[in-house]
Amino acid sequence: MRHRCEHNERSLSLLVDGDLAEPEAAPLREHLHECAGCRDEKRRLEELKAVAGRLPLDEASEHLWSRIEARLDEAQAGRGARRRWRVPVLLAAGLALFLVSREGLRELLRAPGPGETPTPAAQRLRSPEQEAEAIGKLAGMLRDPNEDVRASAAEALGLAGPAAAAAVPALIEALRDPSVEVRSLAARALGGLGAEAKASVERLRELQKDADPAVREAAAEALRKLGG
Amino acid sequence: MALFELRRPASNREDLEEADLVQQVRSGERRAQEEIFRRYKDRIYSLCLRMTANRSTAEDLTQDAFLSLFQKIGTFRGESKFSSWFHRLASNLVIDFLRRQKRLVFPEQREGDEEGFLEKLPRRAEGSPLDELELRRALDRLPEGYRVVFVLFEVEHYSHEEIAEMLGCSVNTSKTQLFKARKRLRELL
Repeated sequence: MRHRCEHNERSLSLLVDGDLAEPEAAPLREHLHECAGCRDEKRRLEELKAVAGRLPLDEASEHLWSRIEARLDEAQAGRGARRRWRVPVLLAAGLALFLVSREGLRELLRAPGPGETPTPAAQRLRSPEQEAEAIGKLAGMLRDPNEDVRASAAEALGLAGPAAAAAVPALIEALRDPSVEVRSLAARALGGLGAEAKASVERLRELQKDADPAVREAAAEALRKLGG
Repeated sequence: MALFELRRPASNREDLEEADLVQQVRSGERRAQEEIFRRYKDRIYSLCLRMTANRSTAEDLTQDAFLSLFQKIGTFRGESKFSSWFHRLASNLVIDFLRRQKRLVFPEQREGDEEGFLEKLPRRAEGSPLDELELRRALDRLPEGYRVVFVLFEVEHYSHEEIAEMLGCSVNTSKTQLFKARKRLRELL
């Protein structure tokens, strides 16, 4: 094997990529005229680069599709199931946050006795502090790493009505969520908040250009409701 | 319109057709998902195989790449070509996998691992041209840190800036790893 100048190896590697700055490239090119070892090294690096650029593709097994399809079916079935329980679970979770205690829950569920005027227990048991706490928790869930949790939180805030006004900044932030579902649900929740959600109008207008048709539709609907 | 379509350059027509297909995938149409799989399966599998040097792992990662694609297609905004976007998604998936396996370390961190590593390939005759099969065999014997940078730069044609971003390292580290990978390959070949 011919002698190579080791101190030039890194520079030669950069030179074949056209990545060596001229002040260093010019003397190296001069050197190449004189040094057969470095010329050989450069030629081999270029050969390596050329062969790497034409590596043939390997063929993926056709069976892979059936594996992918099975996982898609599973996910679809799972989504269906989640959709069925998502809202009740969230409503239950919301109720649990709104209600003070088991006694409160029992009171709420208790049928009125004869001659007793049924008092709306929820109103009695719901305090503004608990409501704010629940909305704060749901707003925090909009940043959860799990997409389903974020979507559920957006959906629940949509159901909470005017009480969710405190979550407007978090909902506006959720309009940039990578998930189509979260963006759509956040837009719908904001639409339901009326004047409280005016701050979201600008971002909702941008969202009308979203790549996803469902998101565009949700944004348009929300803007109609907000009068934007 | 039909005449206009016919006169379009083929690549343009393919881009348009692919844009339609991507739109259908976005709507969750199974036939479109299958068509995207057929179009990209070999490219994505080859990318995974070159980066991991293991067929079974590459198959698993290819499967995950397509599932991830179908899940995240809503985030594709058409600012880059779909193929570039998908390749980037798959590359990041492989990088994450190697990181989780703690395999994405650069050789200076695992000295001694390569004892006898140069002896594993038969020496080529001096001056004989390099062929693809030989390079592939040599690539399989590179430590992951070297192989990943080499594949991302030379095969996937990412810039050092992009590789640095993907690997969470500096541009200079990416350049150094590429140089070291080439040096190892030259020694192996």
